[in-house]
Amino acid sequence: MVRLFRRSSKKKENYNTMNDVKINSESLRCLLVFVLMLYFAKALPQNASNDFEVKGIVTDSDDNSLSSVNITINNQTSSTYTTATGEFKINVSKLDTLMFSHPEFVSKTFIVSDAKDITITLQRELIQKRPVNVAFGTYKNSTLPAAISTINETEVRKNAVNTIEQALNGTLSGLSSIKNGSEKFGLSNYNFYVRGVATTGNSRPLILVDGVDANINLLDPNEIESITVLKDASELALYGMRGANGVILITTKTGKPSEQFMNVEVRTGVQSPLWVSDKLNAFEYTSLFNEARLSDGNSPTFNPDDYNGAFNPKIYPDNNLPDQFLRKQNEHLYQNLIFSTGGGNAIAQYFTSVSYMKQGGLFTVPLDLGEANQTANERYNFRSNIDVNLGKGFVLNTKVAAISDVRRSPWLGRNSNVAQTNNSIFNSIMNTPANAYPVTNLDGSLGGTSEFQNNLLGVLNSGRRVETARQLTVKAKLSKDLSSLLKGLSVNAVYNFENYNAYYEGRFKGFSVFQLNEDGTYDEYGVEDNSTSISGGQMSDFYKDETIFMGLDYANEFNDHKLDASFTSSQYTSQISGDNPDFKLLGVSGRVSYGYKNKYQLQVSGAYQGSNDFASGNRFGFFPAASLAWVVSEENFLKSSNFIQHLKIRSSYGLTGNYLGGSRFLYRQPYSVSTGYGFGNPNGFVPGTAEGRLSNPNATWETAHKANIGLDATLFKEALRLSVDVFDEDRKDILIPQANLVTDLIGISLPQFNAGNVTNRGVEVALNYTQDIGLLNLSVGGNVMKIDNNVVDLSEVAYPEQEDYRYLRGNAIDSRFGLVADGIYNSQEEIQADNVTSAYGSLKPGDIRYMDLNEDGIINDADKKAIGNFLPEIIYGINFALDYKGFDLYLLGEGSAGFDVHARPDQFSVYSYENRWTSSTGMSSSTTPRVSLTSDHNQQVSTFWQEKGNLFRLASAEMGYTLTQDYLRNTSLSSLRIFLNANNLLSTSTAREGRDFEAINAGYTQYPIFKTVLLGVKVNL
Amino acid sequence: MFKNITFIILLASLLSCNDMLDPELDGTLTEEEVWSNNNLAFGVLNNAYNFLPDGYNRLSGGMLAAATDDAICPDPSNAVNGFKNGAWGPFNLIDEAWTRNYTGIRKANLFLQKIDSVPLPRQSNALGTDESILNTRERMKGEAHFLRAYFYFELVKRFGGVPIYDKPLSPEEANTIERSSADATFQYIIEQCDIAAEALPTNYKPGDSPVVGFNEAKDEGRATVGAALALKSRALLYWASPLFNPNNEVSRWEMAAEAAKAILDPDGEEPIVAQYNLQRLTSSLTLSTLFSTNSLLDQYHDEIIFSTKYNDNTTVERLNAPISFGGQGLTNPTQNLADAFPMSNGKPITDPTSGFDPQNPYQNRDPRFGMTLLANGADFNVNDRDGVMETYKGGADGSDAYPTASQTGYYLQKFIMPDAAWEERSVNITRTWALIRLAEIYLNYAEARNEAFGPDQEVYFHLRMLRFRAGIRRAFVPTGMSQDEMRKFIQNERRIELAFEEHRFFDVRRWRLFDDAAERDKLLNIKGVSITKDNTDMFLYDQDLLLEQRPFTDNMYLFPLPENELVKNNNLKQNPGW
Repeated sequence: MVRLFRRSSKKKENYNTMNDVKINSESLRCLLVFVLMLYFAKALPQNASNDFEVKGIVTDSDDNSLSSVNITINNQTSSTYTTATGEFKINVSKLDTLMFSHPEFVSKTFIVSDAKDITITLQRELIQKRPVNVAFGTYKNSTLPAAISTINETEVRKNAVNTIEQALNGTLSGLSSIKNGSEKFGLSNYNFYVRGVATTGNSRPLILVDGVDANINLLDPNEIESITVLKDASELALYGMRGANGVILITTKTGKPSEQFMNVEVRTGVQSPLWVSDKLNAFEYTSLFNEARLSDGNSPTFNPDDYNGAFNPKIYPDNNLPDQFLRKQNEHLYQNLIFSTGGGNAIAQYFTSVSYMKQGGLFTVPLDLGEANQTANERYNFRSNIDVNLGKGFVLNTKVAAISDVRRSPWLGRNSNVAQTNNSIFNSIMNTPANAYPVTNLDGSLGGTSEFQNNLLGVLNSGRRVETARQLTVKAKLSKDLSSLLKGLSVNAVYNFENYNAYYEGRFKGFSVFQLNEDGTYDEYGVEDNSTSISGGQMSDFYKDETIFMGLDYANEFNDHKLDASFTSSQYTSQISGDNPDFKLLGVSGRVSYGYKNKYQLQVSGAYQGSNDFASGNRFGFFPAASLAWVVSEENFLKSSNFIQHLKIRSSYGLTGNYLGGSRFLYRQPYSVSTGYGFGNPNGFVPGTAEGRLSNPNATWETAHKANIGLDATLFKEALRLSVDVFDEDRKDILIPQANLVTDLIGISLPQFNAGNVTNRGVEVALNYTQDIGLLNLSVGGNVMKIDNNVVDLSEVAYPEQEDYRYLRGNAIDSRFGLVADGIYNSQEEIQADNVTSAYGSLKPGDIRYMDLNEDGIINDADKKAIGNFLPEIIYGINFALDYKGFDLYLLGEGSAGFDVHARPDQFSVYSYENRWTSSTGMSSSTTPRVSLTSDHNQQVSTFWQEKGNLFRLASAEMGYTLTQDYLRNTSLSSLRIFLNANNLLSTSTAREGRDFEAINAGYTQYPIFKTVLLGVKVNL
Repeated sequence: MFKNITFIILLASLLSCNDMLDPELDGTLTEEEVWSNNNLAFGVLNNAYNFLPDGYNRLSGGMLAAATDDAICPDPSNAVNGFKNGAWGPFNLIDEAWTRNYTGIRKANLFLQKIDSVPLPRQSNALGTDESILNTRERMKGEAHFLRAYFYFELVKRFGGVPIYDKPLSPEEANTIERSSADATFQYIIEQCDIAAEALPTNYKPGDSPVVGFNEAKDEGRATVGAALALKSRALLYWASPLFNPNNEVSRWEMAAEAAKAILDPDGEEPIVAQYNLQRLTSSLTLSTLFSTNSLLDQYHDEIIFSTKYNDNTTVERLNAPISFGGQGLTNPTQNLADAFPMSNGKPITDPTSGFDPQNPYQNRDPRFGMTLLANGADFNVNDRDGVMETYKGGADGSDAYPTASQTGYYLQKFIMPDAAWEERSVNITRTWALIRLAEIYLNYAEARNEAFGPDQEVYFHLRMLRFRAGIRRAFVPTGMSQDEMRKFIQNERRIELAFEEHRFFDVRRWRLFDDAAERDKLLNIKGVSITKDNTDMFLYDQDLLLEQRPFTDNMYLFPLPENELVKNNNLKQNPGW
């Protein structure tokens, strides 16, 4: 592959003439450009009419040579680039003006005159002046009145191992990412919230890739150029009824008008569980089981001494299932291979990437089956982004991405997907009692009992499930410059679709298990199949998203006045599998922005948008916002300050909506053909009809009223960058189930109605400090958000006066309701003294003492109050980077605080075994209640099991060394970097038993979270 | 050219095609579609039948009998155990009848409200002629009245008086309606039964239907006159019982007796009972086969007056068969129930002349004993396994065999069909849950008549019929009982005849048996049998193995109303003591 590219570049002259070929049909030309893009890119124009050659060098203010600086003559398309050493050559005539430009530097012009050998020094552009991604386009950061946060390519790449989601942890201020469980192989592992949760409905931010809806689960992190989070109304209003939960904009890489680059990157490493719980052995398990029976007043079941090894282990087994069925740390490999190339000239630019990723699973399979039954995920990604200037003011951008993803696992039935299968098998390994059955019998057959027929060895060897997903995304954008009509005017049209389909196939063979009796005979359970069965082959999941945009942009300056306007009409359709009408949205979004002297910026933005989820006449809503920025540093009194390079104060207020707050089509009352009845003899079937839930003709979207005041500053010669935001969201018209308020006497399910009100207030600070100490470049940064959530009203029923603690209002929306515990009853006397009964089981010594909050003498659900909250009130991220000569180091930590975790240990866990209450043990702070098989009393959600959450995770660490050309002179490589990357390396968790605070069941009853350590080599050819 | 392009793009961007957002076709119907099509409209009532109770292992695998002195459920975490471990309450109803029955009531109400306004087809169609559609409508209105009565009865027997309404409620109405008195609720049920009986046919058997348009055999299983009158008899019996008749108005017993008699032997009219038949039980026609078919039997056994639709499954066998037969053994009959069965000579085992041998306790018992309970030494066959029950200590299904083995020494035999198989091969059983069967009407009549008129010949006659069909000679019903003795006798007969059919839980409450200290002890002290095998392979029985001492307080005569209903509707009042 690589050699092919090399060879083609040598042939570039052969294709030079292509430039001059005149093609009448623009579409044909466009097609040709597509096909021959690579050659175009290499086909640097050589303008023969120029008089003489000028050569020179371009450097930055520190005298470092600059590569990839674009040099154009007289603003024409004819151009060249500086080489890696900063040198250039170009043919010019005397009167020509050269323009030197580079994305990170202030452009500079140079009139050729008689110069033959020139040195150009470019000034680094202030970071704030670079354009950033905003709704439906980009905007210059320095005057942007919106609250946003951004990370770029480097940060994405260092933090993401196999999914983009990993890059969103702790890197972006205002974005919380909460692990929603264990490793899921190609499925989403996180819940994201922009500035907290303000609804009982869908609280997921809108995630857009290159401006349109896309599934990011399977995207290759290598393709990403930047990720931006839009947080306030000034930008979110443009998304109408999709903006209320915030927007995450992911932008893929495009080609730059620069020399072609080609990268090959290989990453290989190991993944291992972050934490896996311990297990009781057979003696411990059986004695604890007996104790539970005794404490319930029943006779013991086992004789624990049978399991001490003196007896036949095939009858009295003591298995260490994790030891037997979980792979050792170094056995599950992670591999990633990436090839990417890009480049272009002023006419066409391209970026192309091909990658392969594979991660393995945790379960052991016998060698003779090889990898076939092993859990694994393999993914192939392809992307090609091409931008072509078609001439006559037309520009065509195309983005094509194709993904093939394969996940494998053992087989647990058609309804159990790979992630569920993994969880379920892991749970069996961890929670099957050690004495349940011998894995194999003396005669080699599988062991089991009537209760345990799913022998783990049998499960892991008797089938596999293969899930294949394919995703194709195509985006085309055609823009036309209409400056000839009106200066600064342009129009564009976008068509995008993303098509995803998945199917599964299972192959499996039923097996039976045998239980050895004392007399040497066996009982058989289950049915052994002689042949393998096949299941599936049909599509199991499908969606298609389609977006059409028509845009009109205008930008012009009149002396000190600058006017920008853009309007986009959008049409969005999402088709999903099942009997589910498409999701459809239609609307116009726009902004008008007025700037004066780069000092004041006033923007009015908004959207008028409708969704097919609502009744005709109620479909469309208007979502306006206004925002203002004052660039204080442009004022005379600060303009010459050495201390402050940039200072901007901004504020915004506006409305945005959430149309996914409740069920769809609430305005209709559906009837359906429903469960019929088998009348007749022999019974036949008569169809039934059922009334669906009642309608709510007034149902509408939720509306978020968002206010934001912020400050962006750059201080000490750009060494320190700072952003501070204070925000206030008032979410109204939250959809509340009417069933919460109406008795079941009505006999029919009820719709939701718009009544809820939740506020979210908070502060965000993002800080970054960079310092160069000689050759040592140092950077330290961080972000923190503190949020205060309050339920103003969620239309709750009226509780009796003495039970006013039962209201959710006044608490956070993510409150956990539970009982208030007050220690453990040590004796029957203590129970009698309290004179309460428990609705969860009769009280015995060793049970938790709960507070009878309504003082009715019964501990029941009416005594549950808001005892804590699920989501962190504080989230933060800290990053540290340094490079010295060729060496670089990067560390990212993320953390959260101010939440409450309910971590109830399993009754038959090691923790419970060691800390349980018995009549002989004393009480200590770690004592857990008595074990019981009949009483639910101690299993209730309560403060007893709740702990203050406080989590810090070393999310990513990377260490690398780059060999530059000095060392690579004898090779064809232009640079080579070797690095060691670690993801999720460690986390400090004070949770009971060492469980993870976010994914509380990972490694316990669910498949664990992985940490990854990998070695990478990246070569620039 | 530029202008043209601009114009087109601008126009396209400003076009607000609202049509695009109009609803697409999906699987739903509109209200208008349903109530303009007779077939869809009839479907609303067909659907309502699904809300009739199905008592097989209804409570997350447990049977309601395990909340009575008839059985225990050995799985400690099973929901049914909530009735006895203190978990039962307004927050934990266990037996979720409130929402289910009001859902059914709404369907019946909606049907009755709308059906008359459904237009008739312009010409005869596949559904039938106008005349036959109108006939069917009238009949289905009768079914709706019957179902409504049935659902209300399910409520009143649990909660006492409940809110009564006969139209679909609005949310506002649902939140303000009050409970009617128990008296008014019973009266409403009786009235609905009377209306239903007027509109319903005697049966749907092929050729028997006198009314044009009934789909003959295809409609069997719908409510009949017999069902309406039987429900009325049951409702009147409950209304006359001490729990709902604190002043013991004898007229209620008289009405109950009359209602039962209207089915069995009406004066001067053709007896409804003619089509029902108490067939004598034999080894091939057991109590189980009343509920299930096998190759020899039809659906809708002669004894069934009203039952749920037939389903094909082995759930009952899988959940209740002993573990060594591949089942889960979730319903274990108690020694208390075993002791209630008389000897085959009709005498209770407490009678010294009965011939009962405590060390050979399963010999010469009422034939229904072996059809109801699976005791040690009994032959048993299910799931392709054939064997002798071993519930002695060390036996294959003895109390120490598994943590969830029966502690009582008994497993369930009733409902279990020997043909059922589910492991190596699958043989489903076609079964129904009998909601009302003829034996109950005999018992209703005997009980009401004894209360109203004392133990006269009518009472004896029907009890003898019942025992005769069980395989006990008619003469073996003891004679010369006082009214009180007869009451005890009927209560016992009802217990053993209708065991595990969800009667006892409600019977012991309507009789207020817990008020009597001696009865109370028997009801709450749950016993099993401990069987040991001595070295001569003889079994030693200890029938006094106390397994559970259950709690009971007076509030437990009635169910608690769900707590979250009370907070939504402040006019609803909780039952006393909850």
